[in-house]
Amino acid sequence: MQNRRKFLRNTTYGTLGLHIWEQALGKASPTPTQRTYRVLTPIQAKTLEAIAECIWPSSPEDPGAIEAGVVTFIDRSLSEFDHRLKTTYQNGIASTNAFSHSKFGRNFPALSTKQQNEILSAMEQGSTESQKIFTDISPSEFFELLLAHTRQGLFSDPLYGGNQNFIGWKSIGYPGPRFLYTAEMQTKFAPLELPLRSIADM
Amino acid sequence: MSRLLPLTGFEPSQILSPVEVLVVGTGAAAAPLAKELVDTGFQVVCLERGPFQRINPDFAGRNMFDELKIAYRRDMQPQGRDLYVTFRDDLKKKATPRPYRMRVGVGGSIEHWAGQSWRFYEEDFALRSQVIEDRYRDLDLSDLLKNEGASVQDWPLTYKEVEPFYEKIEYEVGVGGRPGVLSTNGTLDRSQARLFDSRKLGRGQDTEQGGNIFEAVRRKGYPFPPLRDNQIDITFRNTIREMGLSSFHVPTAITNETWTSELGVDRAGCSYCVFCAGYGCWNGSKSSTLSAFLPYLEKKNNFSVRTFCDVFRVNTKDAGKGRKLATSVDYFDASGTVVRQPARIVILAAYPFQTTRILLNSGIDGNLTESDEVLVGKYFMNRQEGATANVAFDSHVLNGYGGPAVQRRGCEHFNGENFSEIKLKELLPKGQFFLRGAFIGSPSQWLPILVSNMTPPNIPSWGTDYKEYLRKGFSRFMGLQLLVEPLPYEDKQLDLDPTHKDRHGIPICRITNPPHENERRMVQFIGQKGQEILTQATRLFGGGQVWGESSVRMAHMMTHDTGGTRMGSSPDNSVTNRYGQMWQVPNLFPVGGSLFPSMSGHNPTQTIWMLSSWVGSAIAQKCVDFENSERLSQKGPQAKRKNRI
Repeated sequence: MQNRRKFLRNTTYGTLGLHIWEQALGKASPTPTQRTYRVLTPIQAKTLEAIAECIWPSSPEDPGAIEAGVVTFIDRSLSEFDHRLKTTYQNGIASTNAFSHSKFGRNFPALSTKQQNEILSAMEQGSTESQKIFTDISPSEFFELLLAHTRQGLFSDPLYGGNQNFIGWKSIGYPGPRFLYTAEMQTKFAPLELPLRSIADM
Repeated sequence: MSRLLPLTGFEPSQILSPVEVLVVGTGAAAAPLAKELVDTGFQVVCLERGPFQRINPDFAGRNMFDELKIAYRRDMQPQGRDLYVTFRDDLKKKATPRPYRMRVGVGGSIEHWAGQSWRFYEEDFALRSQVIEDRYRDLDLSDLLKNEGASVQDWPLTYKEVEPFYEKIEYEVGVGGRPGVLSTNGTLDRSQARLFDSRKLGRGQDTEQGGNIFEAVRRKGYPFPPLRDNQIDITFRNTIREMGLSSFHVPTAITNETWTSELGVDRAGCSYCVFCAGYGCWNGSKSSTLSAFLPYLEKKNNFSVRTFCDVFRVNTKDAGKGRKLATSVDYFDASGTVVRQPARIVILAAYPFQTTRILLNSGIDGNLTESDEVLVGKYFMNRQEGATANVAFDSHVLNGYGGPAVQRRGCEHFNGENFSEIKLKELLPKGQFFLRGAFIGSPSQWLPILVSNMTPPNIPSWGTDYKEYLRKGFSRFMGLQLLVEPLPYEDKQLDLDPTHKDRHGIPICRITNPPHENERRMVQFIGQKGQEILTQATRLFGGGQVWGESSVRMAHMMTHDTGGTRMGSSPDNSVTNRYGQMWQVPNLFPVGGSLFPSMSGHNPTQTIWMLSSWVGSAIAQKCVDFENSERLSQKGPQAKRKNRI
């Protein structure tokens, strides 16, 4: 599977080809089963991946939240630092799928991108429809949580499971932590183009 | 007369031998005072609530280079349900719990502060007499003061008296800067001072010589220069200059090269590693208890620190005429055992929330008069949030992720009463006049998770457009710091929460912080001014998008917490005298930001350091009588310092 991904990326279609391929399979991409999650069930992982992909989509120029491992980050933090949020996530994900079902007749991962964005917007606004479905946490609070964790999963150090292969940092042009910046670096007024590094590389 | 009762129960299992001076806390308010007393031969024991971390190994190496761990998972601050405060923005509301944002550990919060280090203006010490009753004596300020329940008083000391202590701190602890108003004859006479105005210096030179032309007169320059200017600072300084105003790099308590302090402590120079404000300093270049004081204090055998001492009560005995005397302090040790530490002199330097909480739980209300008013906790001040100004340039690259927060320039033209002409001519006719002003500056340290949370209002906060914005905007982003100066009010206070307690069952501190008219108007003016500056910048630097707010917001409380045990000239209007000595309890000194009767438009830390040194010197030089707070030496302590060139 990894070879096929690499192959597709290296063909003329590139990442776009991979994306189309995944779409054709109804987003039944092998990605979720390749990764071992500690807390999330396969359906929960798939739902979160689809949500994260809406928040920070893949594009021809650079990969998105799924490749960056945002869901690995969330899964890991739910098993450690954010263990108190496990139930919140379980309920929130279930409600997201229930909401998708009530509006479009299918679970969130099976919806089209347009439909998915509609669901998330409704959650973000705390629409009356969504309020009726979400019971344990308000839809807008859950959405804020997803947003915060997706951003953390993209831009925290790779040691937390996200920002894999520096995908998040590469996107925005952040080189990672370093012990020093020189006067020259600080007055360049141009992209610094420093080699990417993580805490482990320091 | 006391109506407040001390906490009952929690009797000690262990009573220790008495110590001479007991200091609760080891942060900015504790260290200079401890040094003064240790140098004079007093036995000083510091009780610290948290652990004994050190620069090496705890802040050194890669430990601090983690935005998620430190800024979002709050690794520098305590976790746990017993370390909370409660907060409300109205006296009529019920307060809700909030995590206690201050660091618990040797050095306290000074170990992760940003490092901006200012002297207050002369007028900052005399808001009532110089600003309200003199400068604006012809104005009717009742809609800002009387109708809002403001309680503005002068400090019971003047800039002239404390100027030597400011200087002492700069040379003993390490503060870098460039003078703006420098004495030429050893006096504080402004008419004889030399001004260093960045506008009068050639282009490219002002990083070398411009200072704050509004500052109070300095006898001497700084021991070393401030940090360098980076892309953000150069952008700011050029914009400010185009607007006909002056700017300067803010004074920074961060050594920029290797340096030996007047205490003989060797320091490394700043490496501009960026993980600064909110993070411990990996090489000790940021001045703090651990970097500047402890290496000196630990060599003295009359100084010691005891960790994991959760102080909750000061025990007192009656001393007649409404007065008490502190006899001992009770704390929970690491195992939860209650220990009693008797002491001759007690210093509370535990940050305004904790200092006030301990006093109130001890039944000490600070009131020597006949009324039953509780004076401890009153006139709390905190920055008023709501003024913001941000910009994402179209093509101008700033790399704001590549410099520490306090690598910044400042513009003081809208701080204090520096712009009273504008206020009187333009704002007064519109009914928008306000007292005081705000610092405007150009910080760096724009790290990824932080910037990903700060999008312009017209850009979605997620999705394709969001990604497109952040890919380009991240390295072209900057936001101004707009530091509004609030007044003290009757209804802004610290007290004990009626419901919430810590894990031992002891009431925690409740913060009441309602917004007021003066700050509403100031936030509106300053927010707009900040956005105007950045709009000018986009005109100079190839376009961009500016956004921001200019209305009061209570979402988030900044960490300039002051007031609660204000100093003053009489027991009728204050909790302590000019030496931080409680009128009601003459051997008890609540030192720190809680002593401030008013705030200033500048970061409080250097003034907290200065006051700590002032109080310590007053005790050491016998300016106080431990039986009677009203018997004071009016001469004031002398700052003993080495002769400098």
